[in-house]
Amino acid sequence: MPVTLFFLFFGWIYERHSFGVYSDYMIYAFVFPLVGGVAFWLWVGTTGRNIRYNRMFVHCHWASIFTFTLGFVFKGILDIYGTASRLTAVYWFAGAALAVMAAGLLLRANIRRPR
Amino acid sequence: MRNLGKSHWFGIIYGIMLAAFTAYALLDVFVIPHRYETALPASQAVDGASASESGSAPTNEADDAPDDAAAEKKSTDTEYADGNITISVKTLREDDTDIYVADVELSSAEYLKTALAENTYGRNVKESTSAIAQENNAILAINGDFYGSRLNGYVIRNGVLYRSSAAKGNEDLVIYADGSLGIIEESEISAEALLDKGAQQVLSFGPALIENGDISVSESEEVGKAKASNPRTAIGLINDLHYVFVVSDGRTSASKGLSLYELARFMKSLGVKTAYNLDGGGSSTMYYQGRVINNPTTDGRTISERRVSDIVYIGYGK
Repeated sequence: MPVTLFFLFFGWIYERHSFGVYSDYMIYAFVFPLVGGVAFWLWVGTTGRNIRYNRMFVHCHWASIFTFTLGFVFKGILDIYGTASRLTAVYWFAGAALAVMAAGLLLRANIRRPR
Repeated sequence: MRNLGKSHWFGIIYGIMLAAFTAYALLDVFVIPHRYETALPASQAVDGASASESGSAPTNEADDAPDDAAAEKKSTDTEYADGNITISVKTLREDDTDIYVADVELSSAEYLKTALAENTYGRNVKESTSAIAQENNAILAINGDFYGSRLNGYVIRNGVLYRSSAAKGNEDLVIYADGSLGIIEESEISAEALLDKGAQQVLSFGPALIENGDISVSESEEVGKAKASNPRTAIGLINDLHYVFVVSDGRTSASKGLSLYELARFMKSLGVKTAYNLDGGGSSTMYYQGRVINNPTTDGRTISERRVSDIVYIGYGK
């Protein structure tokens, strides 16, 4: 939640000083920690109590969230300045790769093994 | 909940790597210069050449200020006239904004030129508009389209093609060898085809403000994600070899700036038939006879020029 609030506040402050130029990426950067962080772990703590996971899953999960969030902030900065960079693709690939790894680890920990 | 232990090395190492990559990415975008090609001076540019093909060319004698033009030269703070170039500069006020208008009449389109920062095509290769103008002996100059801030969009300067990758949906301004202006969409014609049609300069920012005498932007239209009034730069054609260069202040208490529609409406009031929006905001700068005459600002507090990729200018060149 603090991370979500930080990026929500950061995006709002950045846009206040950008003379009316806005970026959807900057505005919505907070969504990743909100959905992937707050919402997901609330679910794990309530409805999903039986979900099994290991440390590596947690690392990959949070790394993916931060990568996408930082990627959105970076893209937002570029959008507001009016420029672009091919390096933004690194965030999307890295974030997606980590998300896939996290999903795989979660599936692996929760699929029943035949006796 | 499972006991996760106290090892956070993965997170720490990954966090450091992510932070380092982000720092590098920001430096790459905003600081690290990438110099791709040295530009030919406007007087030596070869018609229809690409940057890779261009080589030395005979100096065009007409690009040297003719002795008779120099003899006729009259120059004041607001007027300039020689045998080939006539410029009249005035400051108007509209929509709570100071607007600087340079009315330009030429005997030949060869005196309407562009120049690149450090005389080099590249990314993060930047100089102030006044510095580029002084290096090229410009009489009058405005900032260009800041091509260096974007990855795509045609770049043709003084008849040389530097970038042919199209930016989707972009409207470009084409300045032909005869001095006429045209508006094209990059999706409809290639940069090479523009060269074949005699394009001397192609500026890729936009949008077009006036086409065939009619305003071509809506009241809600803005550049990219801008939604407020801002300093602006625009160029327009009134009739053959008769142009206006327009720069507005903005972001200050003295001048709030213009929306695109307000800019288009102002250009139309000058009698412009074709007008095009160039890079605005902190880039908007007008240079005349050795000094910057508007109040360029990025943050609305400090009056200082932003370093830009390129300029459009009137003069005889180097």
